[in-house]
Amino acid sequence: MTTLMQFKDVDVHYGPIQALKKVSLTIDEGEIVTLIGANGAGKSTLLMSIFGQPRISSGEIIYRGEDISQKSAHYVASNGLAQSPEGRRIFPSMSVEENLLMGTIPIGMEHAEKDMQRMFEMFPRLLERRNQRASTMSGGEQQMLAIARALMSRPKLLLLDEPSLGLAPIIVKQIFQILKDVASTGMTIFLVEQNANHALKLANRGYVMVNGEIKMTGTGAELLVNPEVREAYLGGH
Amino acid sequence: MDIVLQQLVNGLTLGSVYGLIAIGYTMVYGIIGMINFAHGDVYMVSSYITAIAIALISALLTFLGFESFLVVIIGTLFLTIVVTGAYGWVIERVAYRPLRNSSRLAVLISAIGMSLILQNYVQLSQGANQQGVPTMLTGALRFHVGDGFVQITYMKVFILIAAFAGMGILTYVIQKTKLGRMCRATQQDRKMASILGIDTDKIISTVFVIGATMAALAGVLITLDYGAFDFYIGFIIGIKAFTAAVLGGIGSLPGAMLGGLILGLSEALFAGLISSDYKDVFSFSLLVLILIIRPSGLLGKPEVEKV
Repeated sequence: MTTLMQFKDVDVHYGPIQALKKVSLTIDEGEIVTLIGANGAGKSTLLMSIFGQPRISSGEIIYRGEDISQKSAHYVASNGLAQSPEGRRIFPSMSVEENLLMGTIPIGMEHAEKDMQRMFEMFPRLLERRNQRASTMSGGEQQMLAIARALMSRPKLLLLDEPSLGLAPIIVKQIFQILKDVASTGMTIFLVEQNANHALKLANRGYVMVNGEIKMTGTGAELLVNPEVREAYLGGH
Repeated sequence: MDIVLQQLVNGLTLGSVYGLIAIGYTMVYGIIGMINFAHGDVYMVSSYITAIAIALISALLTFLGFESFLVVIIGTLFLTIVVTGAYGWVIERVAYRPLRNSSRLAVLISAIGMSLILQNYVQLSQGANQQGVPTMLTGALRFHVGDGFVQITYMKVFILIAAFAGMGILTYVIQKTKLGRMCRATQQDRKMASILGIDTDKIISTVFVIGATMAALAGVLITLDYGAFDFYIGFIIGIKAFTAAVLGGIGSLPGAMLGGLILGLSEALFAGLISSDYKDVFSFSLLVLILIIRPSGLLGKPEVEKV
């Protein structure tokens, strides 16, 4: 398997505060890798640092053999990285369809119509709401839209930041089912989650982050039965 | 009756021009949250470019040995819009981009500085005296209403058509094209737009250029109609257009056009029916009133942060 992305000793500072400490992790092609950790551990910081927001203070982010840590966000996005960010960040005043079209910026409109149909098959709720303003949709629908928007760019690596955040358990289940379907197409996924149970069940490998440091790593199944992980993230049973 | 109709026509033309300039304020505010106080002076610069373009093209036509109002006016429109658009691009590059991540106050001061620079640059290079262009389109339509009549000069007809065409094209671009979607995305969430692969700096530049081209269209139209201008005209018309943008709801594109029309119409009616000396007082009273009653403007959204 070839390595798609690699973090090498990455430090991130917010002023005097160090948010990431010597973080190293790898994502291989075709893998589902998850990063779990408590609120404020630095998970979203890590994902956003791929797009240079914030810039890392030392270390390297190697993507397909190139250090992208000092590149502009639009350069990174134009090279096959797509993110469904924390808080979804859909464009509130745009229709569902327009939001989806925003995903095609890196690859152009060539496949737009076909890909949009594919998204509507995967997320039938979005088809119903096609011409509706995105801000009027429920949280779960907005999350689906954010994932679909990311997929519209036909990414090589799909980055997901807490897709389960603030959603009802039944919706979370739906979303993870969809992620499973996406993964089965061979898509490489890097999933950042607080919902360790769902995330570890889906992932091939996982990393555990505590206070900006990687504390543990292993396969999804290993971490799922690890007593420390169970104690800290799975309610101890 | 005839005077009301006459002032309605005058107000509509004036308002459509306010609307064109207001677009520049509202789009720039929408995308980077600042009032571009140099925008009125961009309009002023476009008046001078209009005069230079008319002179150049007329001279060229005389040299070639023929005369055509249409060629002059289309050539002038084209040249003025392109050159003024370039001014808009340079202004953003020089005065605002270096301050992208600094406080709002810094950008505001830079904008006022840019405004002073443009005024003084034009005064030094073109002289402080009032300049003028010859009247090129004469004649008028006359409609009899009761005992009196309403007169619409061909020039005013031309202004109305050109201004509404300009607004129509811009609305289409913003609502229906990929460039428009990229502008709206950058306006709604700049960080997310960049994550999706949009070069947001380029989009911000584009918005400044769009604002400048709309001001240029207004500059050509008013200069052709009114004939005279000096280096200081940007101030008052800039503030009027800013009023129009606030009236319609700053940040809202249809709001700027609507605000411009309402301001132009009400100002013309006030001038015609009550007092033309106090029409500016009236306009700014309207601004104060709007700010008290509905600070977000007619079509603007109140600022609610939704989590």
